[in-house]
Amino acid sequence: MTLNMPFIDIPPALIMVVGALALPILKGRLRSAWMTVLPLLALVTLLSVPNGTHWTVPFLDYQLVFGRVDALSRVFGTIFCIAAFAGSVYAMHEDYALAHTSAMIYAGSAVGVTFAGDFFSFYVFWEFMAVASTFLILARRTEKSQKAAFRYIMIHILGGLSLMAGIVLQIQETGTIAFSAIELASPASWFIFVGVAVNAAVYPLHAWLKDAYPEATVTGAVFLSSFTTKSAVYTMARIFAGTDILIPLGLAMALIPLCYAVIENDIWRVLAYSLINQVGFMIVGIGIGSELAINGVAAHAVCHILYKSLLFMSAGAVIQQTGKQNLSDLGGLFRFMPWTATFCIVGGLAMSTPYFCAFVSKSMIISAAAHEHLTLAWFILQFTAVGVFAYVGIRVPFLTFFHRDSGLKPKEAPWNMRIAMGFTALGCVYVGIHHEVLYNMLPFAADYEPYTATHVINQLQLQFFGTLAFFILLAKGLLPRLSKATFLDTDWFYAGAGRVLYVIADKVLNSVNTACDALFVKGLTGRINSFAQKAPESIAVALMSPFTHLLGKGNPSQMDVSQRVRLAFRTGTVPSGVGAFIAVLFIFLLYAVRG
Amino acid sequence: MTSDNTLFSSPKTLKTVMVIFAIFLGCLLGADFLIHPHASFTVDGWPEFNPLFGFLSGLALPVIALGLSFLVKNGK
Repeated sequence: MTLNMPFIDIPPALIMVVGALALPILKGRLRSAWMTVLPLLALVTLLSVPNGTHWTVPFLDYQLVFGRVDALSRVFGTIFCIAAFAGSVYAMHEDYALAHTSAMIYAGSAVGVTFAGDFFSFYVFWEFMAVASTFLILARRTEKSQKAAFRYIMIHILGGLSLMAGIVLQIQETGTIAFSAIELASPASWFIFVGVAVNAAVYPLHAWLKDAYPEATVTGAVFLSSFTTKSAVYTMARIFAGTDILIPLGLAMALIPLCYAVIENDIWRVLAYSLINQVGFMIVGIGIGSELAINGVAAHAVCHILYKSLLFMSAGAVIQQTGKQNLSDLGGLFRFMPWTATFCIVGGLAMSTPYFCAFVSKSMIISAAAHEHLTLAWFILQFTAVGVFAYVGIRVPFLTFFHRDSGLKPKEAPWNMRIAMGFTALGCVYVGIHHEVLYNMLPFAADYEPYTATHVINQLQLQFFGTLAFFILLAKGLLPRLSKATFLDTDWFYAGAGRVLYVIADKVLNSVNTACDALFVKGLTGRINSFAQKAPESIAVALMSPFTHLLGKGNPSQMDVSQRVRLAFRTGTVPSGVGAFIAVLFIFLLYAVRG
Repeated sequence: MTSDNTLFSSPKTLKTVMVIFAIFLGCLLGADFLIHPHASFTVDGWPEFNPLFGFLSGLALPVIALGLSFLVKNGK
């Protein structure tokens, strides 16, 4: 989709990243206005640029490409700009330059990743994303958020190192920096795969997401939910489409985090796990690799950004207004926050209901699995689609806004938050109704019609009978109890590995350090020092003793001579003639050796 | 399930919502006989497969999740 207007020759990522640098200087409404204008400018640029290769820069022997524009990059870039705009409106009430600047650089870097045509520029924007997003977690300024941010940046540094190693090896092997499809066969491809899989929260590398996102600021979490995982999905679709291993990995992502979402109490952690679940659908689609599957991946990325950011926005509004983050502490808020409740319900329904966005996208991936006769994958995807609708899409709004009277009486969310949520909810409904607008942007010709009677009825049956099961279990008190307990995830393994590493470093390496200190510092150095102190005396005694005997001075014993010479050296009372003699002798020896 | 100050606190409101939901589900069950199944596999072409699969999925998921919680619950 392009606008019929002159081509604006500025990379959209540059507009957002460089434009963000002005945010700390601006104040108040001017800053808020500039923050909302930047993604709109980027979007207009994006829509004006034709398909092809743009904004190339020569670098050493290579050509950096900042604008590889095709259907796949355009659809991701478009939704990134829209999400950045919605997030900016949502954050307008905050007066926090660091958070706003970080958010815009983060969003702009995601756009940069999307349009990068070479590995160098791709990697630069990838790392910009990691650093900028870390500040969104730090910005909450609590001890927990600082620790979470530290763990977040550590895991992303590891992923970034793996990615860099893979890129370097790939360039060595191929001689080119072109960012294109790779077969998962060589060590280079595996390093790149692991690096991208970290950002995509592929199981078992996903734990950073549920650890970090709940510790971000209210507005930061909205940005975080949109960009890191979806830019990784784009990268996977660009590089590893059709790679079979992604199918079981995606199914694991769809299933296991959903189980955690059912037992978690923290509303943001529930949404974080459901985010991983939905990214799992996209990863399965990439693994399938057919045209329908890739179309489904792109479409579902768009729809997921819309409804997940809406859910994060509504949850963030509740957290901001009530100060509570656990579902067990919430309830009965509909009377006090009707707009937020309505938008949250829209976000929940958008997961699967006809005339909402994900109805037209998720089913493409599920249908692609059926077309490829992947029976187990189809059943797991259907099972998790039912589960996420009932236990996240229905359960979260119900427990937060209805269910029971929590005694909380918060005010409705600020106007800018409501506008952002309304805008996103409108997007969810618009895409659900006018799905052809989305389908026209997809990488391949979309020969798929979601609104057949069969499909609509089947999906309604699946989702609402699953919801019936949820309400029956809720009424009977048979659901897993919401408590303040924490649940171990795969980060237990690398936390455990960290403790083992600490013990090794403490016991082994410190012991080696102590031994080396004793051997080299105290031992060897001491001995060298002692030698350096005594050697001149010993040499002098050895040289002088024959002369002393010849001269027969009171026939002193060798010991007497030795003692007198040593005493003279130690007290600095050596006769100057002796010193001169030794110097001349030393010079003569040097001359003899050199000669 | 509800208390005094929520949308569903009135028994009449709750009953109305439940009746509407039940009618809706009944319509969905009946609609299964009006549409062509377009089965991807054999089993999903059976009558009322989707309502049954949806209901059983809704029951099974919390059971699996509960089992998982026993394994991963951190006592601290």
